[in-house]
Amino acid sequence: MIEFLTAQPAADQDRIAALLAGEAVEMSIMLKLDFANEALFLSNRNIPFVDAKWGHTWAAGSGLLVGIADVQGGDDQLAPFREYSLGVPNEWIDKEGWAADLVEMVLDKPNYRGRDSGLYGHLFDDGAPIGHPFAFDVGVMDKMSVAFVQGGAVVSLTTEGMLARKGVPVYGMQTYFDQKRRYAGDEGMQFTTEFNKLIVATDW
Amino acid sequence: MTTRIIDLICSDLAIFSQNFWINQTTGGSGRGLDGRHQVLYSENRFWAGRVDLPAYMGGDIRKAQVFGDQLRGRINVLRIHVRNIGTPVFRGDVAAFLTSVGVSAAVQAHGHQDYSDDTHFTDGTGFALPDYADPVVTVAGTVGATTLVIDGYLGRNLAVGAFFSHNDFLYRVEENDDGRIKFNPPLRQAIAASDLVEVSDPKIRVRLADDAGWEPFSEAFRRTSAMNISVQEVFER
Repeated sequence: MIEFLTAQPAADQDRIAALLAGEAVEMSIMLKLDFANEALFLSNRNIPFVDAKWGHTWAAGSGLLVGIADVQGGDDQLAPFREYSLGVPNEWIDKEGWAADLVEMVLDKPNYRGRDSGLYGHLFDDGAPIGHPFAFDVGVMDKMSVAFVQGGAVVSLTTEGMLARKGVPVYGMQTYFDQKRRYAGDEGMQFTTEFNKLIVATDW
Repeated sequence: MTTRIIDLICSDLAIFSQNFWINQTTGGSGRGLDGRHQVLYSENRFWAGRVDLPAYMGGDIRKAQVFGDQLRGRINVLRIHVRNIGTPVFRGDVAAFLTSVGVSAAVQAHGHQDYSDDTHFTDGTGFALPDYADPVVTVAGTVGATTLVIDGYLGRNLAVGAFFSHNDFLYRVEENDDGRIKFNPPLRQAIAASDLVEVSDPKIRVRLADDAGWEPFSEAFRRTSAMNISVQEVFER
């Protein structure tokens, strides 16, 4: 049995296998953003539902989630960041000073930086949720930015997975310039720049 | 929230015709080499519609222009009173309603209906005349439900394909078995038992599909042309 099915409740596994083999599959995409002031549980359905695993209510959030990132990655690729586009809540638009509030939200880094995020899917059987959510990507929220366009704004939220930029020198350490900073005359790590290679520890 | 809700009523500003349909968007990765295609979908159905407006003259043009000013493109909300055609509805005139559902003037004068052989109950009365009140929900419906049980003459006789609304969310009947109705799209909000659903004057809240949707009315020379506007369902309450 494939790993995907083994992670689903035993009672639902046969039905889930049958659903996945069908030509029309009802599946919801969900995004969890664990903001400190209020966790958001968004889905691409316009009718909320409660998942059986955590008991969260996943709602449309008034169209708050307006764009999700492609989920890419694979062998020999750095695990990418994800960037989600969030619309501005409608109730803000008519509020005086909403633009300033939005900037304040972006600057309130403790509210989001380093906090959980996750992109999930959930299968449905004739409109009713079946089984448990399955993760496409989990990580933590990193950077938020806001772009003001005529008549509104779009908030971009970057998240990174546990393996994001795995293997890239942290804070530029163990690179040629890092070595030069510590030992001005040491040219020994120049090759890392010249060959655009990352340091790989010797496998003794 | 200060979004305005503006009513579009036939008696206020003439509407030539309305057409509403349910939009569904799906995804998929394309057709396979075997010719089969797997479609991914979620419950994201929403009402879209087109409202055809006749050529306005005189004061109606100015009224329409003010209407457009109030709408502010896609910001404010239009509440359209949907015409419910082909199903019994009450439009304010009891006699007209009773006539429309086949109650003769004589029976109306009588105040009740007798048996088919003109006999009546022992106390001299007969069956009550059809009730024109909007139907009452007898079994509550949760969010996402696609069936309801409604009572009342208008509910039990709600035609397949006819509309009803609750809190300005619009639904279209798929089946009706003496008040046990199946409908689309699924309930946007829970409906409690004893709540009324609107059959005689169903409504839907929509926004223009495009910011410039009302712009043609600003063009004076369009006054001799019929117009149409495209709208999409609003979910916020």
